[in-house]
Amino acid sequence: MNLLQVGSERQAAASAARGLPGLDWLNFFIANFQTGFGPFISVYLTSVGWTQAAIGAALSTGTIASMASQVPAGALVDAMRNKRMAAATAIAVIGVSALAIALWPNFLAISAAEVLHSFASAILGPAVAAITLALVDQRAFGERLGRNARYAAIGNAVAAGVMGGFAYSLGDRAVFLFAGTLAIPALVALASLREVPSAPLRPPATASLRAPARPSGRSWQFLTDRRLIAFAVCAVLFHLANAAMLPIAAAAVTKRAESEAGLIIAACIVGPQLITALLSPWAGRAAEAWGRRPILLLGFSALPIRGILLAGIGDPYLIIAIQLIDGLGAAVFGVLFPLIVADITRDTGNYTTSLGLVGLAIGGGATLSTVLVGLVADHFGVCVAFLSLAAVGLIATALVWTLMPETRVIADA
Amino acid sequence: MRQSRCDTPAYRRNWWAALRIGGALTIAMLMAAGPSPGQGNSSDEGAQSSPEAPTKGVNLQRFAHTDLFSILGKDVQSPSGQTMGRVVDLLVDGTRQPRAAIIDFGGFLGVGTRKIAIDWNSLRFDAGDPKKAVVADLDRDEIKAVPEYKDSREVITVVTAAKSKERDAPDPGQ
Repeated sequence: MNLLQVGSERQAAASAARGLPGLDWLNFFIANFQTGFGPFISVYLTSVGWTQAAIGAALSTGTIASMASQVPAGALVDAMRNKRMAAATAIAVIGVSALAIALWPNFLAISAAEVLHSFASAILGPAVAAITLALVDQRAFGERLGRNARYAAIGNAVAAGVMGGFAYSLGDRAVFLFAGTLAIPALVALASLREVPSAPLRPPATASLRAPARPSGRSWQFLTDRRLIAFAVCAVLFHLANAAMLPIAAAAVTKRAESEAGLIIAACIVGPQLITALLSPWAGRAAEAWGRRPILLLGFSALPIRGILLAGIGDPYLIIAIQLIDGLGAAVFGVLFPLIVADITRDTGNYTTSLGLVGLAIGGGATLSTVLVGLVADHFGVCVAFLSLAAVGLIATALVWTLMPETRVIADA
Repeated sequence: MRQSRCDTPAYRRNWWAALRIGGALTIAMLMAAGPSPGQGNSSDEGAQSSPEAPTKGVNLQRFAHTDLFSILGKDVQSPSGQTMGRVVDLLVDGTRQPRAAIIDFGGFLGVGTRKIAIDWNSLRFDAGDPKKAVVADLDRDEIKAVPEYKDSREVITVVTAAKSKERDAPDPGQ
C-alpha cells in the first residue's frame, strides 16, 4: 500500500493521535455545554417558579427520550455517510435546546428541548467516536481516545467552575445562554478537522469519515455478539454502582459541612475530572500495550473500594479524597467503552449502533442507580446505601473477570 | 371539477354533519348567553368602579403588585444573609393554614441538595420588595442535618426557629 517502514508507521500513527488539536477542542467544548444539562436544570426550573411535579415530568420525558434514542441514533450514525454532518447537526440542536431552555421556560418548550437534547446527545457521542476512528490509525485509536477523554474531563471541570460562577453572579439563566453559545466554538473545532489529511495508514476494515453507508437490509445479528452483550451487562452494573455515589456523598457533605459545603461539593465534582484528565491518555496507552482486560479490571475495582470508603468515612474533606478514586473509574470507562466496542465491531462494522446499545445499558444502569439507591438510603440509611453500591461494584468487577474476554486485536503489520 | 366534488354523497354527508354540529353549538351558546344579555358590558364597568363589586356571584379583590407575590422558586436567606436554598413547595394543614415551606437546601449546581421543611412562622417576607429573598430565622448550621423531607415518608419533620415562638405575636419591626 505504501513504502513506509513498519516502525515509522507506528510513529506516524502515534503522532497522528497527538496532532489533532481540533479533536481536542471538539471534546472540550462538547463536555462544556453538556455540563449545563445535568442536575442544574432542576435548580433553574425551580428558580423560575416550576413545581416539583412539573420538573419531574419534564426531566423524566428527557430520560425516556434518551433511553429510547440510544440504539436508533447509533444506527442512524452508522447509516450516514457524513459523520461530521451528523455531529454538526447534533451540536447545533443541543445549542438551540440550551437557548430555548434559557428563553422560554414553559412546559412545552422545556420538554421539547429535553427530548431534542436527548436525541442529539445520542447522535453526538457515537458520531465523535466514529470521526475519531476515521481520523486515526486503529493502532493509535486507544491513545487518541485517551486524549478525547482527557479534553472532555477538562471541559467538564472548567464548565463546572465557570457555570457555578455564572449561576452565583449572573443568575441561573446565564448558565444556559452560556452553554448555548458554546455550540459555536464546538462547530468551529469540528469544521477545522476537515484540514486534517485522512490517515493513510488506516486498515481497510475501519470506516472512513466518508465511508459508503453500509448496505441496507443488514442483519441485526451483531447485537447478539457474546462480547458485546457481556460488555453491555458490565456497563449496566458499572453505572448501577457508580451513578448514585456522587449525589449521596454530596448530600452527606451538605448534611455535615459548614458554610463551605458548596465548595466541598464543587471539589467532589471537579477533583475526579482532573484525575480523569491525568489518567485517560495513560489508560488508552496501557490498554493498547497490556490489553483491555487488566485496565478494565483496574477501573471497575475502583467502585467497591470507593463504596466501602464512603460507607465508613463521613468527614467532608476526606470525601473529596475518596471521590478522586472516581477519576480512575471514569478514565478507564471513558476510554475503554469506545475502544472495546471498536474492537468488537472491527470486522462487522455497525460501530455506532453497538455504541448505542452500550449507551442504552449505561443510561439504564445510571437511572436505576439513583432510583433504587435513593430508596435504600431512605429506608436503611446512607451507610447501607454505599455498601450496596460497593457490592454491585464488586459484582461488576467479578463479571468483567468471568464474562469479558480480551478484545484487543494485535495489529502487527 | 369543484362542483362535481360537491355533488358526491360523501361531501353532502359531511356538510350535513357540520351543519348539525354547528347548529347545536349555536343553540348551546345562545342558551348560555340567554339569562344575562348584555352582561359583558356591565362586568367591565363594575370591576373598574369598585374592587368589591360582585361579578357573577364572586368578589374581585385588587392588590398592589408589591403586596402579594409568588413564593415558589424564591431564594431563602439566613438573617445574616447566607444563602440557604430555594422554596420548592408549601405544606398546608386542614385548617387552611400554611404550616411549612419546603426549601431545596445547599448543594452545588443542583448536586447534593437536601429538601428541608421550615416552619411557616420562622419565615419572614418583605412585602415592600417582591424580588427580595425570604428570610428564615435560622442559619445553615441549624438546618443542615434536619431529616430530609420526602413526600413518601409517614413522618414529616419541620424545623422551627427558636425565636419564632416570640414572633407569633405581630412583629412591629416587620
